[in-house]
Amino acid sequence: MIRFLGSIVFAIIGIASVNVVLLKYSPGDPAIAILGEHATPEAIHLIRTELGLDDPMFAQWVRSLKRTLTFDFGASYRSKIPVSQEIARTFPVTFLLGGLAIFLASFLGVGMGWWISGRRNRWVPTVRGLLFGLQNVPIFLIGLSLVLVVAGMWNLLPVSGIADPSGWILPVLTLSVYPTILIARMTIQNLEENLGKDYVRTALAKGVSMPKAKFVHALPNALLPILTTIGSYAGVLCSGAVMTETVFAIPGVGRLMLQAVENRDLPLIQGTLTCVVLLIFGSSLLADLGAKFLDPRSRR
Amino acid sequence: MLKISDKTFLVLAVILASTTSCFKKAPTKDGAVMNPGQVKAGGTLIYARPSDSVGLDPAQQTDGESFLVTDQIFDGLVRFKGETTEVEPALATSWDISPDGLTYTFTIREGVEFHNGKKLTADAVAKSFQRQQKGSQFQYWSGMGLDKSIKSIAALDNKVIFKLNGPDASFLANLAMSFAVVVEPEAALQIQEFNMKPVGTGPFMLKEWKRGEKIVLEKNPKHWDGEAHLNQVEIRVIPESQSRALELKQGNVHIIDSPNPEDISFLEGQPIINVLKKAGMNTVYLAINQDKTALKDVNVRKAINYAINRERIVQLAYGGLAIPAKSFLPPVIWGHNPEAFAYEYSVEKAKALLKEAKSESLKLKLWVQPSRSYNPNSKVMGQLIQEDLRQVGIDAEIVTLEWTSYLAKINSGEHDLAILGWIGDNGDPDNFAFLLSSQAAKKPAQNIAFYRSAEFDKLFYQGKKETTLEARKATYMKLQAKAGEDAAWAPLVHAQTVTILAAKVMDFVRNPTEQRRFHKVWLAQ
Repeated sequence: MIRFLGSIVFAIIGIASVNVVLLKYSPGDPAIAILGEHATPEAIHLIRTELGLDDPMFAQWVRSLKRTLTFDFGASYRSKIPVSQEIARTFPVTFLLGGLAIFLASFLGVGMGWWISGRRNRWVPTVRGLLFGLQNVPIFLIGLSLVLVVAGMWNLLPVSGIADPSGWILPVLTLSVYPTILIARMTIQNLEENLGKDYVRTALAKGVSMPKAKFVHALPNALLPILTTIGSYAGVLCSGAVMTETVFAIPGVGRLMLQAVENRDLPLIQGTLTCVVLLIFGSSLLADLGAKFLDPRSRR
Repeated sequence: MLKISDKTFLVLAVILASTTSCFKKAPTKDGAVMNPGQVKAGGTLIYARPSDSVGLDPAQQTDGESFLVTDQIFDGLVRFKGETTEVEPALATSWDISPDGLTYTFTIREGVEFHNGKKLTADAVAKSFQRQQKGSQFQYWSGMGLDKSIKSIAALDNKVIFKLNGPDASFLANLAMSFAVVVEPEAALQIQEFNMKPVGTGPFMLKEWKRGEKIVLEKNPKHWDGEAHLNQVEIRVIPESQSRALELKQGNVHIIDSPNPEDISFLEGQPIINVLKKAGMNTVYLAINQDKTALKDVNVRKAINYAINRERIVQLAYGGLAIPAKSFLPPVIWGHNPEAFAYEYSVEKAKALLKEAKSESLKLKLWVQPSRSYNPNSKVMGQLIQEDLRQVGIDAEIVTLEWTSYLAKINSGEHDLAILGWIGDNGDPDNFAFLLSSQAAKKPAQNIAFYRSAEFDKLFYQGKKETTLEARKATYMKLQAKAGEDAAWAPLVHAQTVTILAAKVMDFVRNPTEQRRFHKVWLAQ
């Protein structure tokens, strides 16, 4: 627990520092990004002073740290709306999107892993091949292909937006592809490992059927590491959310982050970044606690 | 990664498009559909665009996505007439200009109401402009130099009087721009609030804004110029270009903007869709830095002008969606001189001129801007120019940088040659001529050719002072010829703007200044 808290402190200092360093050394002047290319030199100077861009680095670092700690990042350069307000608006959408995707992926992944493991028929290699192949397809392409085929050609679901609840289907599906594959692979690996262990072989020798041996005996033991995987995967999900939200026109944190980067909107970058880091910590903490709860050994 | 998957997707789209029978070919219709007869009122127009408005106080904004919405909510004292850059009355019924060109007196229209029920008075109009004159957050106002050129703004009875510090013939055109509209001065005191809840006199009022998703406007039944035909306009954000195209094809949206060239060819064959191609009010140019010794010789600059194959740039970098530039002033602006830069593509002439200048083996740095709306394939353009220059014996090394750094460095004159574009602000020739004036050559410069000519400057100031259109036209014709003679730039192309709309959208207006108006739009069955 102490180590966990320590890593949070480290992360906060990290975010604050990364922001200052990015600001200093990354190409591009936020003042020009705000004002546009027809800006007068006087206006640029005014904005730079106003934003404190010409302050010494240490002063900027202290300010950055204070902002991260208080979760008060000031107003977005571009929209002039407080960053906390922007995040409050977009976070629930991304949270729901990610949550649904993880939920779906857990069922699909464990189900697929369950079906494949220990089974030998002519379909298994094909399904496995597809799974591993799909893993190398960019999420952007998966999303766009789904849009083009399901929404464009078959006209079954909305192309973009979440105005209609059915608009959630394709984005959730898109975002769940990677975690599904990951969970399926973990399930296969762990199940097959456990199936080879003595306790399962004993059960099978006693006359327990294969499905029952898999479900009652092997699965609970295999689930533990899968849970940890799901927890640690939340971060990767965030990068997927950026793409998914862009393809499907969903107003979430991912797209906010992308816009912030495009516009060099530093308060917004800092805010969304902190948000993502907290999400990663939160979910891995939850996964840890969940694993402790499920594993009788660690409860002692 | 984005780029690659984009391309892969296109391949996929092309394969699908060519293998399915649902994509039928039909002749393409060009130009806006104007139908003065049987106008059908009612309905909701749905417009899709790549990103959301930043804010809805037009005075605080500088971006097109914000103005797309505020143009519907607000009116100015004057406005651009239809699809021209001529100025016509709006909230002012008429105006007088004093003989010395220093005093502009506007008569304010009677019986106009703001969306919150307050009456439009001369006093309200004056306050609306005084607000921009005072505040520091009104970037566009000061960007156009209005804070310096205006001496005072006052209301008298039903008149508003602007006094200027010096004659400025483009003043009226500036007042027709999107940022210079009349706001309800009391509501506008809440500066942040007003960005989200704008109050104007325009044909539409803000109904709902779901940030990042959509803006809904409803018609103002009391508009002075007659109420809008549409009941509502819904402006949706759909970041992905392919998704916008697909939504249009399915009939879920009526108008899309910023299409990819691939989407255009995909949609052009659809029977229920119109592709509207308009000459843009922009110039993409190669600035030739005259502070560099090698480029001081006018023959070298002329040679560069002859060396560039503009037609090939139009075809390969724009897919035909541009026209070769013959002047720094685009043809959509009055006063355009089509013979100003009479440099046809000729390798021989270029070589001869370089020989004359004793510059047969030049080594130059060619700065290539990142892609912009007016230059979507800037890399291709850069490579084409590099190749053109190599043909005449100039060895050009390409330099690329992220956009804001690029601007900062070319503004301080680090380049030999630099590709840049200018989108006109107010439709006045002065707005483009400024880019070649000595006044703009002070660092950080906007005249990145660092062209300084006393004769050009004389004409430039003369154009500002003259008050009749005819006199100004003649001055700008001469001014363009002078710049052409000195080969101050190598003007490259004028990019076209493309709007794609469902065939049932009638009377949509897209002004060369990029103002788009839904006031008179109606939906046919």
